Amino acid sequence: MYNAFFNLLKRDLRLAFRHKSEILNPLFFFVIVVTLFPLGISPEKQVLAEIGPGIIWVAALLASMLSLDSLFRSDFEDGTLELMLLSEYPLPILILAKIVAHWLITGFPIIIFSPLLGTVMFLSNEAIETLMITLLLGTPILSLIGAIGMALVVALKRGGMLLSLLVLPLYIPVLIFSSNAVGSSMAGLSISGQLYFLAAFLIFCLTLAPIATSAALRVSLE
Amino acid sequence: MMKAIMKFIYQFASPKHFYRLSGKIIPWFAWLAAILLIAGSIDGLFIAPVDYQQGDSYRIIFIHVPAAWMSMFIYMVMAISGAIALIWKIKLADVIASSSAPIGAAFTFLALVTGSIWGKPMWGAWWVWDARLTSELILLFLYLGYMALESAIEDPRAAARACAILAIVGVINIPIIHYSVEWWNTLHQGATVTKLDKPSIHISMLIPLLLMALGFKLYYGAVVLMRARNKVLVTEQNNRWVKEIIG
Amino acid sequence: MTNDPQTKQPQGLSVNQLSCERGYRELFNDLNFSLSPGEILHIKGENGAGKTSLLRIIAGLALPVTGEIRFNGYNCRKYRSEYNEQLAFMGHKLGIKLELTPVENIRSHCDLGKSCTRQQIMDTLKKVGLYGFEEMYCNQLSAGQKRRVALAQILLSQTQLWILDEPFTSLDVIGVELFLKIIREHVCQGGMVLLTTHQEVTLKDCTLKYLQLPDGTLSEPE
Repeated sequence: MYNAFFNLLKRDLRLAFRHKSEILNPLFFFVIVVTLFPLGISPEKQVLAEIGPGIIWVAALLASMLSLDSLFRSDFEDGTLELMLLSEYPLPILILAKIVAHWLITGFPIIIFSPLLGTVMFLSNEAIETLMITLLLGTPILSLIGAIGMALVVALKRGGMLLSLLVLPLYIPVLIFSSNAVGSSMAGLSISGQLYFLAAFLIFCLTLAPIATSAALRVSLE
Repeated sequence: MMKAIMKFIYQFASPKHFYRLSGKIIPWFAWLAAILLIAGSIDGLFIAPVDYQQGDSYRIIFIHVPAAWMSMFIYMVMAISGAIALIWKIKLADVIASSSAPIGAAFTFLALVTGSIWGKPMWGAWWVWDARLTSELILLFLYLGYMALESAIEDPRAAARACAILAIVGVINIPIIHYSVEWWNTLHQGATVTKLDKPSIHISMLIPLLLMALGFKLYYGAVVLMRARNKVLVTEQNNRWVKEIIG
Repeated sequence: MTNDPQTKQPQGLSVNQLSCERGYRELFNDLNFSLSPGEILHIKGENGAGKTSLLRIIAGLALPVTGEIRFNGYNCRKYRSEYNEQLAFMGHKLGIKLELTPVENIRSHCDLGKSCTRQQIMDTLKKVGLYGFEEMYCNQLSAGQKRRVALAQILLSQTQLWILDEPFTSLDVIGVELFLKIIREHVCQGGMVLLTTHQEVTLKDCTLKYLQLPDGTLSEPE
């Protein structure tokens, strides 16, 4: 079972490296969206530092959501998803491998690049540190919850818009706590409460989301 | 024993039996709902005393609060009947869930509108990012997502099962969303008056509120059964008893 | 709801009182048949008669409206993992990643079930006539060659029950013959095959049965 998990993880990573755009596009999107705000609002340091945490987090949220399509779409179209459903191994384990791979491909680069964007938005050093921690805790949650939504719409031809309707309301707690943690650390306040919440929510999603996702996939592939 | 119970439930929940029984229940629900709603409105609008802080404008809570209760209640109904349909394969539960969605969305919308009308004299603005209103808004998004998913999937059985999963995921998330919105709200605007957290509500206001709440519940019961009856006729269109009814 | 005595432990696949709807239209109703080791069942019927739906239901990918499927006496939905261990499925979508080579494809398929060595993979590829194509990406292969990769996956799955939906599509005459030979070998070793095809299947020394959809009458070739 561990072999099945790691081999599937490896396969997905290998596929991603043969399709580099899958890694780079969400990252570009993330950077571009954040860049739009100073242009649209104001380049002043005070304004940007005030809205920066929220903007970076909203951009991360949207980038993560838009990248969900690559999670199941190609496997659905060429039929490998069907074969996964017919595997003798528990489907939630295989799904988890795919979600982990997807997070490594799309979520992780965002974390690496976030200090750059934090600097551009005039966040303090502590706030940038917090930003990275919240992204580390929060983006896996986005991938896990997003997987449920993606599994529900994977068989639909135009599922993109619908996916955002399904998934974005469920992203709200992550957005609230993460961007607040970054803002609070700017102001020099304690952020342990927010981080505990994110960690608890992550563990919660880690246990339940793969099960919900596999149930949804079984329905979608019918 | 368990088998006997399950057999009874399956029989009870058979579409044919449901169709006949619901036809008898609906008038009762509808008439009782009408009586309760009229009584509650009269009591709430004319008999209940004027609030010493808000004057007469508070009287909208007799709509707003029951509507907000219903919006939560109906989502729960959808999730529970979705779970029943997934686990025990009772088709009727799917029908109830999907018939409930638009009604729930309508109640949510009503709660939002009355909340913002109530907010106008209180806060001087049509919309305030109050915790309850915001939660209600997110709940409306959840309802809209549910209905959008249902209409997007062509096969009715697959749609019902997908929606059941979505409703269960949603219902697990609602308390988390609610909690985080509440937390976010106290952080950003600790000074606003929270509308419902009054120490106690006077009995003369409680009675019309409960009358209205019960009236809303019965109204929902009547409407959901009516919608479910129509859906049953569609889903069972290949069966002989339906053909006999339609003629 | 079957009256099968549990003590008898019937070998093979048995399908009881199966009915299926698409939308609100009934495809077939009260379908009953069984398949024992060493038998081939050729499912016939016009387009839209429900052949693919039936195969997907038997594979466990779709839900029937009523009825159940038993394999060696146990219910396939309840013992999904044990059933999947004995099942190989080839659908309209082959489950082949275009960005991977045949060897990588077969390997990741084996990772979902029983593991296989590189030597086994190479031998099987040679057997299905893909010698010399092992290290090419699958997007450079022809449709027939991809079909052969899928055949190699089926061969290496070491399962008893093969469910093949239109397996001869895009294969040339030699390919079809090869496939039939492989099917015969499998059946002679106690395997079972369920297949749909519009071609006439002729196999020597094998028990071949026909199932006509939608009425579900069973017949044997004269």
